[in-house]
Amino acid sequence: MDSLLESVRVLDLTDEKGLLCGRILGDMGADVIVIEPPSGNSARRRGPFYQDIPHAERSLFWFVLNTNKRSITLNLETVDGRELFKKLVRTSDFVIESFSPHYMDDLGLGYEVLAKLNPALVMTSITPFGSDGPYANYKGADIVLMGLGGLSYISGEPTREPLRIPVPQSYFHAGSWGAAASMIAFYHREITGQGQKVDVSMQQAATWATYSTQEWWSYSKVNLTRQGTWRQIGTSRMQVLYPCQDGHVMLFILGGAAAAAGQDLLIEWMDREGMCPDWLRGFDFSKLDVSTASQDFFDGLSKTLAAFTATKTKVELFEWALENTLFLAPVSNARDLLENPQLRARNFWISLEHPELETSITHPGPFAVLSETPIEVAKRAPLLGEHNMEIYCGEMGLSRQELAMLKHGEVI
Amino acid sequence: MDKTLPMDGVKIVELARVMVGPCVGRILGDCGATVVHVETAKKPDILRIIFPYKDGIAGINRSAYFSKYNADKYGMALDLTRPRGIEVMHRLIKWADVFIESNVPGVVAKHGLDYEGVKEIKPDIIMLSTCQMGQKGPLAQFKGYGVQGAAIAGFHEVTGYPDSGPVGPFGSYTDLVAPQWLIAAVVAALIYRRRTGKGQYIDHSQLETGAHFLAPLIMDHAANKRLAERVGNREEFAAPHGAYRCKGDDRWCTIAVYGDEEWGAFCRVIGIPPWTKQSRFSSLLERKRNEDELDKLVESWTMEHTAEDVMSLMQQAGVSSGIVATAEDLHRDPQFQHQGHFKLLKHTEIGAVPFDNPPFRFSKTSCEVRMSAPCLGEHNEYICRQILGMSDEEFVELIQSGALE
Repeated sequence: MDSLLESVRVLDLTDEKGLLCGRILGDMGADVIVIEPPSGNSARRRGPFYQDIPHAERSLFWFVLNTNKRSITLNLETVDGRELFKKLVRTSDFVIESFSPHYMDDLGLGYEVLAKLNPALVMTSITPFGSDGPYANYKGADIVLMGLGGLSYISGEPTREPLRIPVPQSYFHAGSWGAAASMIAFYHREITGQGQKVDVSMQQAATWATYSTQEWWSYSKVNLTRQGTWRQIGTSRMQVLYPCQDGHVMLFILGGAAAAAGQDLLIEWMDREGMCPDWLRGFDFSKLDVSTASQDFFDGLSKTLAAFTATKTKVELFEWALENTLFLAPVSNARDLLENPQLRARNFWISLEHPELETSITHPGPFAVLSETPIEVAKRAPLLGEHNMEIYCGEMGLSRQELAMLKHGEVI
Repeated sequence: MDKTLPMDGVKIVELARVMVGPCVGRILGDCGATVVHVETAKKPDILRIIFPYKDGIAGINRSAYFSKYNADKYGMALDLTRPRGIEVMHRLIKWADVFIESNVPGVVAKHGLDYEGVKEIKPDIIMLSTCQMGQKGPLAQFKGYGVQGAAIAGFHEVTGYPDSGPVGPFGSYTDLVAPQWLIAAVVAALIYRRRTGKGQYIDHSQLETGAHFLAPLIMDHAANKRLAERVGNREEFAAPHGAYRCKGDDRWCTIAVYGDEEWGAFCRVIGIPPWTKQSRFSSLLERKRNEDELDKLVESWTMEHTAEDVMSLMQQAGVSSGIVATAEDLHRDPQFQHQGHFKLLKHTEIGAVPFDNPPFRFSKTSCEVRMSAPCLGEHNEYICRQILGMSDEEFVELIQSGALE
């Protein structure tokens, strides 16, 4: 056995809300078959697109969530479609779906039905709010779920609207938590032989990403609020994002025992370049109590630091900070990430051939490095129905004539 | 309902700090694994010594962050700089199926507890190391937290208003996207070990799972040379799409309208004011072209209503909408209450406090949080006597040696 999930089969019925779940299982070696409606998975219609040409086979969003998967088309709203699906379920270990609650039940493909065909099946449902409860039938766009989860309220400028991260985080939280939950259910099945239904709530997944906001309330009745590019430290606010030549850096100045050794050296560096005001020269950070320092002090410090960082690049500042121990980090953009020396040294970015586009496309690679069963991101995302012939004829024994009939009948 | 626990029988020992490593153990503990969390009073986990504390009173056993990520674990204080401490650690490794550590690379190796060392004690152990950057590489020794990690992973650059600099999500965001992948990997490794008898080493970089969560934007640069601009709350194929100010002090509601049908429903909810019939809002393309004005008009309506009312009116009409929840709102969210998302558990020192349940449920097995987080060293005796089977004399001698600190 050379992969973690050798000979494990996953039927992936999800749309963009859940596709990451199957990608993670596929990266660990499972045979993941993404089952698309004949018109294609809705994630194929989501940008960005390769060369900005909107097309079902050019969505980068689709590409990244479907590496290592195979694709078949199947219309579950036809009798033949449902029968073929049931046949696949008999030889599968997981079904993952992200339809509205009860859609699968209404089709006659709910867990109870599928479990009769395959009692060991793990069926994972990823829905905005879980399968029951007062919000169960509510719609959950990403911006809605990140708001209801609590992260948006604390992200953004205090006087302006709460912010969302502009990539659908709740979908990725739900997909990755879906993978975790599915594996736990699968472990139980390894021990007992019994499969079960797994119900993942995207709202709950989003609330696990809110940095303990909920505890600020339950422990000390504080509603955290938005702090923009500043952070509340004791009674004052400290700027943490600073401009530099080619973007921004994040910098925390600490005091007392927590003061970074590099803070003194930074002042010296500023002084050498004639950018240290008299009051800051020789300042003893070990005697600074940030919890009582005045707002005037922080404002003066921030202004001075910002003037200095503005003369340097992100890389210059970060390299200096690593050498001299300073809580400073670059605010990376996509280019920085692609060039990040650590990601390069670990071969994180991988290039997958897309022969149809006559190019290769950079993807994020393995999510961890495993010693015994390395994660391999080897196959580009499948074309729509790319594996129909292989799976329906090669593995399920349908004839080519039957496949043609199914195509004509809009089943596949 | 009396349900079995899916990870029952799995044994985990942690030398884990901060969020990611402990969160992996926490969730597996919720699901029934026996988890021993090893720490030392000499160098307390930073989560134990930062706000918020229960009732605002500082104390090593009073911090919310530590509690959140360490429920359903037995707590042990162990001084690894003492020979007896290391000896006990070796016995825990021998006992465990999984060893989780989340220190700066090289720290556990100083105690002989890198994978090579641990494998000698327990050849089929599954060991997980998680840190900011990964075990090897030019930045491996970076000593930061997920707050900095989130900036390095790109979240701040793209999160902000179109007319301002980067703002970013609040908090140590890369810590909050990582544990779920690792739970999947650790459990898969346990299954692999059952099938083959082989353990393994998992080396995880929090920067990398962070980058996965922004992958489409990074690939857009790799393939199309585009650097994403900050777009506030805008979404390419929806309008209106944003967080709108509502009645009250700093109250907000999100609304996301996709397609003409939802636009029609949205207009009916707000009473079809004349502006909704203007041609500049008649199609998605027109709404996108005139989105600044559209947002102002939407907000002129939401300002007259509470966030809760906006949400329920919109959702009942089939439009995606939700309040922008404060911490207090989370605790009274009707859906969370239905699911029992927050569960009150009695903590030995600070009394009953709510814990988040995992974001999933099983039909046949339980995954509910059951036991509050331990005080520092709370279960020293239980672990030594019940788990490691020490005699009275041995345990007393161990206390006297100073190793249990």
